[in-house]
Amino acid sequence: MSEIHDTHAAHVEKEYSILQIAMNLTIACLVSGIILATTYFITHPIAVEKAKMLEEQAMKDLVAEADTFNAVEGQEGWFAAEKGGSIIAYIVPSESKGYGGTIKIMVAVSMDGKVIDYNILSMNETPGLGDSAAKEFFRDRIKGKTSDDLIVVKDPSNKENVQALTGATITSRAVTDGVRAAVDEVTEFTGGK
Amino acid sequence: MSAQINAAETLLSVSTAPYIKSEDTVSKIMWKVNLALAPAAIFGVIYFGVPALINIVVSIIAAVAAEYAVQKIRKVRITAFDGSAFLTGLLLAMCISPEMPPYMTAIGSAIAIVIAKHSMGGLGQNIFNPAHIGRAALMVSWPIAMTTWSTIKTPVDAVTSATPLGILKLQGYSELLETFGGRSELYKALFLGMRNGSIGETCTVLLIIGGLFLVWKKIINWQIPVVMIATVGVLTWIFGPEGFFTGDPVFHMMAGGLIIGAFFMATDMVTAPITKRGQIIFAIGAGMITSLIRLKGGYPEGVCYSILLMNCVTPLIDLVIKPRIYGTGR
Amino acid sequence: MRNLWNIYKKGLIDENPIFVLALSLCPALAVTTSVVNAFTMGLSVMFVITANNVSVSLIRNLVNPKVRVPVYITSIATIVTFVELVLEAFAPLLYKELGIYLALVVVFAIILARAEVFASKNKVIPSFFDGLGMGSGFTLAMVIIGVIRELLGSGTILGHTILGAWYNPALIMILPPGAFLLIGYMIGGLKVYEAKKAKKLREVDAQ
Repeated sequence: MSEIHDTHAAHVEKEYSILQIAMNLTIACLVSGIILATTYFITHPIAVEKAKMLEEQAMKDLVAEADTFNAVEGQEGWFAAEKGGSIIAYIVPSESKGYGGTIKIMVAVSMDGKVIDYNILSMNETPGLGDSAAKEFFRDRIKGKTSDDLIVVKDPSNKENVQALTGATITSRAVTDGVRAAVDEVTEFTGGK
Repeated sequence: MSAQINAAETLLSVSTAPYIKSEDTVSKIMWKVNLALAPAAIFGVIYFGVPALINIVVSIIAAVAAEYAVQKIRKVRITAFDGSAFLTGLLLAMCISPEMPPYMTAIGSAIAIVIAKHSMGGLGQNIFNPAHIGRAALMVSWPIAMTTWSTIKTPVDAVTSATPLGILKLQGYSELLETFGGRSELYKALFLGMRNGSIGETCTVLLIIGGLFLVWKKIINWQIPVVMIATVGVLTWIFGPEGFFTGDPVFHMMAGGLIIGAFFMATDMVTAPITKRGQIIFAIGAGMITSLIRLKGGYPEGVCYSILLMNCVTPLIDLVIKPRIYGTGR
Repeated sequence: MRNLWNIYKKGLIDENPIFVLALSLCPALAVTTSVVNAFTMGLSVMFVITANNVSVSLIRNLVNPKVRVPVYITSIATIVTFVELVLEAFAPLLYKELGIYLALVVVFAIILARAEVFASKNKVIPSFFDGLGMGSGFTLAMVIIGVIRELLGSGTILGHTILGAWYNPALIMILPPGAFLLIGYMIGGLKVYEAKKAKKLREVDAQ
């Protein structure tokens, strides 16, 4: 007698229809969607503004004397750093293949074809070795050089070219090549010099 | 009258297995291997000077002390003086640059003993070659110190502080020949140990003599070292820098840690396969990975990692290639 | 009250998510290279797990048991996305630092585990304290690991140099192998401690 009762109970347990299950999930997703849409509506404009501010700050760090940065027509990702109405530098994105993947750099190039500074946007190099490429001391080795000087060497007495990072020759080469590519592009754009 | 068994009149004595005993104990084997390594180690000290001696001594003391400490803490039988910790310390020292700061060597040695050997269960239970684990840990921790070599003069009085494989990787084969003054000079330098490198890996002739000693004493099989070295030779010859069959196999077979790795570390009975066929597979695999890293990888030398990687595969090899059970058909 | 404290406390040591339950080891390895990162990730997880426990507990009688896992995941994903949007707008630098790992919080086992094991069967306030406790234990573990890794691997804590220039940092500590070894030995050490404690309790009982 109880056997039949149990099976009956078990049978009732399984009686959730597909509709009920679907409704459950749909309502859950609906609620989730409403919450997220509202949040997005409120926070997104602020996020966009903040992102733009950070970008401008990053560019100001590269070219300190500029007062405005404007996008360059026809060149994706390029910015012209202007001071008092005239362009003093171009800020250009560049990419190169490093030891652990693509290295993305923003390079500030002066009008006479020299590197002002650069900022590494993303890289996946070895911590403690290759990731020193973003540090001040390595940037100093690249700043102020022209395209011809941007070659990596290991001889400590050579001050003209770029000293490699100890234990990170591949990373050093990649960053230097990326910067040099940016300088060459700017030189070509400004009509060659 | 009670039966009296007079011990002096026993005609038959019964004992338990094993009935055939080998002369070797773990300890004796370990000390024989240490002996085989000694000539190359002494050469390293003479060639590289006091820093090499300090590193060897520190490494050995650290290994033995670490093993003693671990066994004391775990309250197990102290086997720290049986020669195996000594061997690990010695091997590690012979695989690192003589310019390493001794405290780093000591830490590497301790890592090899504590992590690679005892955390895995102690002698006979380790999966990976402890000395190479120590070396790999040091490489990851202090890569700049591990790639700082001595400054030596080559036979043609060129000053260099890079290893031959390092020169090959970063500057190319012609630069390498120039540094040594030609092919036969290069081979002579490699064979006699007149080159830059780790403390114990440089003198090919002494290492081979040590290896042959071990083969003679039946401590290692000749198959692993010969096959591993030959594999590297063949592959580096085929995949040469200027197209197929333009490589320099003689150079590659003598360069870097290949000789010492093939004779003394790939043959480690705990971490290598049991069967001869398995060992040959192990040797071929290690040779292939070494060649791959040397030719295409980011590092100039690949022996350490190739042996560790093949250590991973050893259990699999042993699973697939079972020893033939005595008495069953072929 | 006593009961709530007990519920909170167990997440700290006895059932610590990382060292005892061995859940969510992924962030423990990846995000603990510095104390700041470890702490931030810990706080984010604490927020998500508490909020999720509360939300799951609130709807526990409405959820169809057959689809409870998808519904819980939806709940977790909503909360995490909410955190992402808020961080992107109000703390963009932090958002960039956490990067991909913030989105990965959705799949942290500990959050789903607590929802399934505790929040779906208990009232809201106990669930809140359970989430808080687990989150605190997680953060505690993360910070401990982070302190050791950053100190030994970079010589700094919170960016301030503690070990001077004489210290040549062991890079292995800020790389995954060092994290694996450290966490492994810490779990082992905790087990030894627990075994000794249990042995002492048995001896006391026997007397």
